[in-house]
Amino acid sequence: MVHRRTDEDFAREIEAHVALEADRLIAEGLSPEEARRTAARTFGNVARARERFYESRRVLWLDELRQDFGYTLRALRRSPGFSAIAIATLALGIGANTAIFSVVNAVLLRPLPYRDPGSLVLIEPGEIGLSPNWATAAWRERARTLDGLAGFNGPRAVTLIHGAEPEVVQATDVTWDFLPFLGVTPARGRGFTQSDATPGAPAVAILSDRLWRSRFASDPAVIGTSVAVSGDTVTIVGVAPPGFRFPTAGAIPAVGLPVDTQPDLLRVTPERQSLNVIARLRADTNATAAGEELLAIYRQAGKAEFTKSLLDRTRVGVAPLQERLVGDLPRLLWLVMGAVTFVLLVACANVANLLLARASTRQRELAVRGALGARRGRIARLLLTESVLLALLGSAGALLVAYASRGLVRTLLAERIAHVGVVPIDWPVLAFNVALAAITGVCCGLAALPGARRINPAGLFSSGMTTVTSRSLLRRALLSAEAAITFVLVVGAALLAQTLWNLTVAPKGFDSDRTLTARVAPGLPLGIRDIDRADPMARSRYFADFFSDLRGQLERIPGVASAGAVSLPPLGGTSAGIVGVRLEGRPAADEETFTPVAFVTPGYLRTMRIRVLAGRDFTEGDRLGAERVAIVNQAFERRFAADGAIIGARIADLDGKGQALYTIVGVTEDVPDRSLRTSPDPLIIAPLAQMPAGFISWGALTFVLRTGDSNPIRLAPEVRRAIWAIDPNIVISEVVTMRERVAAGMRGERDSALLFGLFALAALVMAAIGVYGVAAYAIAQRTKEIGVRVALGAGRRDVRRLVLGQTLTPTLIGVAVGIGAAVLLTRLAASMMYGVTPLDPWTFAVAVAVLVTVALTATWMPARRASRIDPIVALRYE
Amino acid sequence: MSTRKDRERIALLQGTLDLLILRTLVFGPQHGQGIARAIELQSEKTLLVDHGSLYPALQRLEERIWIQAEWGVSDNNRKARFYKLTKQGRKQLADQTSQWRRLTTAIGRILGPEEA
Repeated sequence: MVHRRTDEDFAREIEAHVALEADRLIAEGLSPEEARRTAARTFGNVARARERFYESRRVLWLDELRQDFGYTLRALRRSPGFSAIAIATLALGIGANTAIFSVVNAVLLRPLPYRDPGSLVLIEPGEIGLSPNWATAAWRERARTLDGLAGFNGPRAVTLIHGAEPEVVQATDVTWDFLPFLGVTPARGRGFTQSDATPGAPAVAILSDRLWRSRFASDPAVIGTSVAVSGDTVTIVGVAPPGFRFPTAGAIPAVGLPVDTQPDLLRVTPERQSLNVIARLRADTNATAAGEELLAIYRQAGKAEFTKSLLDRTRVGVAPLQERLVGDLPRLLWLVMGAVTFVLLVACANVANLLLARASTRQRELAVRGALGARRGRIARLLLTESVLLALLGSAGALLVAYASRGLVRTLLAERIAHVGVVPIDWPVLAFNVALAAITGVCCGLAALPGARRINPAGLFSSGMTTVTSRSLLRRALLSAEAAITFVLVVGAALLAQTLWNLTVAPKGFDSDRTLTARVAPGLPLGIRDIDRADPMARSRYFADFFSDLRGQLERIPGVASAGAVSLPPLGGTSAGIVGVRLEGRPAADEETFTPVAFVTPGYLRTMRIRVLAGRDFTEGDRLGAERVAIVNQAFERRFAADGAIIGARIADLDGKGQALYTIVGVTEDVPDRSLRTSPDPLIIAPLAQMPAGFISWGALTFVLRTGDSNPIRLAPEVRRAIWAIDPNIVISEVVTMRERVAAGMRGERDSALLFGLFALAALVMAAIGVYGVAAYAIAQRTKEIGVRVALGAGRRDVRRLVLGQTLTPTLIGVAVGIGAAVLLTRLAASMMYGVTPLDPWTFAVAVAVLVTVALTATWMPARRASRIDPIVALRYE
Repeated sequence: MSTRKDRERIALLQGTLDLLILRTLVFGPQHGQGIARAIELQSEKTLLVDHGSLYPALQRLEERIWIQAEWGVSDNNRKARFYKLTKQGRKQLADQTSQWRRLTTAIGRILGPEEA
């Protein structure tokens, strides 16, 4: 780099030049005076030479940029209306994108907060994904593709008694090495040790930071003290670090109530139970290889436990932890991201339109600048500066929008993700925001540029009406683009809204009105635990008696009409059942599938108003010792007894060795089991009193109360009091109305419908502004022409038609393009729809009507104004 | 002062000024006025150097480090900024000269012998 010269240095060089030239001329015989004049004239414009020198310096662009920014800021301040609309539009567009991106960032881009998160995988054998203890042990010992593993089970609700009132908290059981495996160290106290996990060791627990703060008042002395957890005495040994989030995979049902993301308690589990297993892959292997190895080990180790045919059908899934944690959320997120990009495009088109309108009012000013020697590039840059500055101001507003909507965004999208604590607005989000603003600014500016390019000083000064047509063509093209994008969003929103509606009104097989539900887990008294081994049915008897008594208690609460309990509530998943079912005397069904079994107390079907279509409901007489009976759903009937005659048929184990399991006494309507969109699996409903040993070992049932209260949640305190009167260690959780359970099953649909609705609405508003702008602008430009037309006899209707043509034609063109785009795009989201096809003609028709109505409404005001133009005034105009 | 003489002069083609400046400096350091004068004299006043574009050209060449400048004193004792060729400038001159020769020969062939 050459040493930077100063202005003065250059000025002196020119002075020297002129002096030397003058010297030469004097030597040729001219008078000094004349010589100086000639020399100066020969040199030409000194000022211009100095200017060119100045411009050749590299810092110039920076200088000019500062000038442009300063100028633009002043100009924007002079037209606050324009600035406010443009900035608000951009803030909305960019803000929506920033908000959605913050979720994408938190959920998909940020690595999990554990040591070497990329190597973590979730191991899921079979259909349920829980690894039996023998498999976990065998993998720990033999798997060469793994670099360690750890397991957990839960979270599940437990009661914590510390002081007077019992409190229901979430507890997760983990293997003793779980925290070190993830690279997490307790903030206080100690972690678990291997000796904590040996049978007979005193029970210990680690508190979550949140529970430590809320329940134990951040008291460091809590470590070493004992609390009662569901009837057990547990010593608190540590407190988890504040940011710790549990990788709750598999524990979150596909549909169901939101699971708390931060278990309040970690308890240590010996590897005696089935676990969700997280492992680390060695660097030199991959998920497929690991899956094969783990399956081989599983089959070998499982010989003693499972039949060969079952083992042959088992698969072992190995998937990256992050991928499994986010589930199907990426699909929704990318869809929403696409939609929100569309909103930004509409905002862009709108701002470009505004800039164009402004450029035309600034025509004269820009032309003067051109005439005064501003280079064309400089004028273009001035316009770009303006749009970029607007976008940057918009991006500041966008951050406010994103910040304000982060609660909404989290409720809508991220709450389903257990490991995401908060959705942060961090550096990647800020960078995204600013980059998006810059791109948006340049795009808006470039879209408006062809209009400014055509400004011709000479033409402008001679006539006020040049160059209008081509620019208004551009404006109408932008309007078409807006209409097309808005159309796609409106169609998408309408399809998703119909999906939500269809799900809402779809027959569910039960009545959720005025119904309260609560999950009740009594735990087992020590006496029962002791005799468990000697008498396998003791457990069932105990639970049957307990729930029968409790049902009586609950039905006595004023306002409760009837009560019943079930082990697998509607939409609660199908987590317990038997593998391989057939009807006695009939050939086995083609596959050995898993058939869930729901245990119920008497009165459950009646309380839920699930209709018994054939046969009878259970009675108090269906108890232990009597014939074991079952009621099946229609799906079961279709699957196993398509030829009818199902009442009286007997359900047998697949291998048919043992005695018949149940005699079918009734058929009920189908009730959604996992989700509202999927048709339910075949289901066996059996009396709790006849529950065989080994089922629902944790003993939790969901109570359903039919009440007379339109807001049944008001009965919740009463219900809690009644249950805790029996035993304060009884765990009560998921106290919600049945309506809420159903609504939770439609969360995804509600989220996407709501978001798309918001986006479509935003796009419609912006499009309306765009239409209004084009109409108003066209009239302003053509006032004189309209005046001439009116003077020549055009009626008001003709004038209105003229103005309508300005906006309606581009809108219709846009709608036509939008129909094409929607046909292509809605198909991508077909899997998210229910009860409506992506190409539903009515939806498309309504969307067309909406857009045309909006265009007409937005044009109406300016058109009316135009039709009132007084030809005399118009002709004097300008 | 649009005289007949002025119109017969040829305005320099874009880019050729750089080449002529470099060539002029082969004979030793020179200041801006001297360079302009030398080009006019050596072309027997056929070429007109627009002084307005001379200095941006000098600036350009200086930035490319084809020439260097420093303040000195002229023959008649005036302070002036003297330009001299650098090594790179010399190489550039050789390259551009041969390129120019090839170009003019080629154009000459196409245009054919001069008509009376």
